[in-house]
Amino acid sequence: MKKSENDIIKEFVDLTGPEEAPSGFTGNVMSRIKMEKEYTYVNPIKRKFVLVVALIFTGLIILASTLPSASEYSWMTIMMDKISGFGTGMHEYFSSQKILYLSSYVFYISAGIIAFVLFDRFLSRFLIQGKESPGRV
Amino acid sequence: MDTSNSDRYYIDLVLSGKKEAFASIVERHKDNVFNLALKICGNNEDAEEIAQDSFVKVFRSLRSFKGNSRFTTWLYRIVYNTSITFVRKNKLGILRIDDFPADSADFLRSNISEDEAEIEYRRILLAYAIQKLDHEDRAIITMHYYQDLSHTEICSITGISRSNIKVRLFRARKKMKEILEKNTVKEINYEKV
Repeated sequence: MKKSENDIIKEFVDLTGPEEAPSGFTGNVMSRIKMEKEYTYVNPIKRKFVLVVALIFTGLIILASTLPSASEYSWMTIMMDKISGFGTGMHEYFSSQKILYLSSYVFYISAGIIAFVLFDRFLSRFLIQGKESPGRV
Repeated sequence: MDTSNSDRYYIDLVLSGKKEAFASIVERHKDNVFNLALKICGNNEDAEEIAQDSFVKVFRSLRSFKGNSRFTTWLYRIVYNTSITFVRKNKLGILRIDDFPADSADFLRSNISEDEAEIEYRRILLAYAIQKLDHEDRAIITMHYYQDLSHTEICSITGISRSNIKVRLFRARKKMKEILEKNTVKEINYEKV
């Protein structure tokens, strides 16, 4: 009797059986799990994002607190004049006060985003009994 | 205690803070998880990495498992997504060699019987036939034949529609049959094995 495709594959699978996980597999998984932090509400992608925002913010603060007014440097004044093409005092916009003013906005925006991320994780963990979304961790 | 009930038992233990109970979950499912990852990616080292990553992901998101589906369906979905992402990221391709590069005679060693050698040969031939399929088809074949999952469950794991799964199974079977028949010369005496 001629065997069907299904029979042939079934026969092969039954005869050879599945592959087994390598020895020490459970131990390796458990040692990785033990290194996991107790809290998991900020996942690695969001953790990286929060870190980047914090770094940018710190960088701006350092820049704003150490950079003198751009107008103190004649080469910068000339460069700004040339770039703007208007021959106006564009460089004055780049004073340390302006950077501080701008960085305060960066601070509010990043604080808002961080608060949103934490609030989002809080909701998903404790309040929302929504549909499961496995694989999206 | 059936499997799904005892899975729930260990999940509750882990969620109550007993991390070590997760070892029981790994122990129960590691072979199926490893086997699925291996069939999709095609080599032991990557399969072990994928299987470990999948279990770590399961641990991290265990709280989000509410029990609306079977734990294994949820687990295999994570393994499937992790494996497919891995093979795409690492550009692991499909086997391009046309002829099976071995002969059943290569497996005849002095310390094993002829039938055992034939089984070993067929194991490698089956792995070769699966590697000739694309990654999604490998996963579908593995879930259907090794894990005995229904079309509905495979559909829920892969996100591929039921009708598409049937078509893919049909094509994959046909392709595999050709390879398996072409390279099988000896009938196995099952009573001896």
